[in-house]
Formats: sequence, C-alpha cells, structure tokens
Amino acid sequence: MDHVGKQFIMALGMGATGAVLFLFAFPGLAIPTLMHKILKLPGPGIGFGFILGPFIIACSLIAYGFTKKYGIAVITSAMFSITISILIFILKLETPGPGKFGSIEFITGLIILGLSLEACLYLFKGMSSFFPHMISAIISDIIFVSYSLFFIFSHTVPEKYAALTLNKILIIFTVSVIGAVLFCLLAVIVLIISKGR
Amino acid sequence: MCGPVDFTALIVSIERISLLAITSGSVIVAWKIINISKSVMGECMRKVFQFTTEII
Repeated sequence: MDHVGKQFIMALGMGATGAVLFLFAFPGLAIPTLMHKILKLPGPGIGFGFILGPFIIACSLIAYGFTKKYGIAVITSAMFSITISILIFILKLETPGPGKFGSIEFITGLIILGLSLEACLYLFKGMSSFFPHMISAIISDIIFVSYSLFFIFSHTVPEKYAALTLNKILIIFTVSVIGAVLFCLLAVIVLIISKGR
Repeated sequence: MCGPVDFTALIVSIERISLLAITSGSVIVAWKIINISKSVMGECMRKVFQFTTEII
C-alpha cells in the first residue's frame, strides 16, 4: 500500500476509534447530566460545545499531527460521524434526544466541523506548532456550536432555543472555548508521548 | 444536549474515563520503563564486554 493510502487508513481508523471511545466514555445521558445538573450550565448546545466538538477536534488533530497532510481532519471527523451513527443504530444506544445523534443534520455538523478545522489549519500553517492547533480548535468549535444551535437545537428544543439570552449564549461560547483548549492540550500531549519527544 | 438526566450514566462515565486514564497511563509508564531498562542493560553489557576484552 502506498504512503497516501496508509495515511487515509490511519484517518479512518482514528475516526472510528474516536467514535467507539466517545460512546464508551460518555454513555446514555451522561453529558447532559454533567452539564445541566452538576455544573448547572445553560443549554442547549453546551454539551456539543464542551465535549463532543472538542473530542472530535482532538481526534482530528492527533491524526493530522501524525500525517501532516491536509484533508485528514475532514476524513477523521466524517468517519467519526458515520461510525457513531452506525453504532447508535445497530446497538440501539440511548443518546440525548435534542442532539439528534445519527441524523443527517448531526453528520453534516461534524463534517462542517472537520472542514472548518481543516481550513483553519491551512490558514495558520506558517505559525509555531501549538498555537495554530489551539486557534483552529477554538474557531472550528465555535462554528460547530453555532451550526448546532441554528440547525439542530432550534428544531428539537424550540422553547429552550427561544429562551436563549445574550448571557446564556456568551456562557455557551465561553465554555466551548475552554473545552476546545483543554482537548487541544490533550491532543498535543498524546502527540508528544506517541512521538516520544 | 439538554433534557432528561441520568446520574447512573454519569457515574458509569466517570468510572470508564478513570479506567481509560489508568490503563493508558500504565501502558505509557510500562513502555518508558522497558525503554530505560533496555538502554541501561545495553550500557551494562557494553561495560562487561569492555572489561572482559581488557582482561583477555
């Protein structure tokens, strides 16, 4: 198999592994319980912004860090979305209803996340190693949360979407930025350990 | 992700994340120990070989 083929397979494997890990680590309604009952944070979309989006970003950044090829982030996030949808459908897993896990809107959102991450990585390619990753993670996560609010949560929980105030939106975006930074750090740590530097 | 809540799922989630962290941490530590012991053993063998050749 040629070098490009190996990188393609690696991106697919990273996306699929990430999806399995996500479903294993956050079963059922764990994320909304943590976000809304334990941390008392406003919704909707904060679970997407703080955990789901940054988790996929971390998987994509790890795959990109290994290969350093453009297109890997999109392939990883697309594979993540397809795998998670198939697993939820086959295993009949319980997921938070408003997130519409496994739907076309959900898959589209994750592909948009991968595309925005890819675009940001391309734009910041001239900068030093950690900051382009972090800025790319933040921007793509904000785009993903905005997409989710407009195209997913406005349909599934219209009453909560209508009740969104500027303060709530600011809290959702701030928490999403924190999530993006934390998961980006995690991705960098994994890359450093894996490469043995 | 708002709506109904499930504390059991959250506890299971915490357990599984801890399990993943402990497992991956143990693998990394074991890997580092193997690498360090390899280099230490290599150095010892070299010293023994050098000492033996000097005696001979």
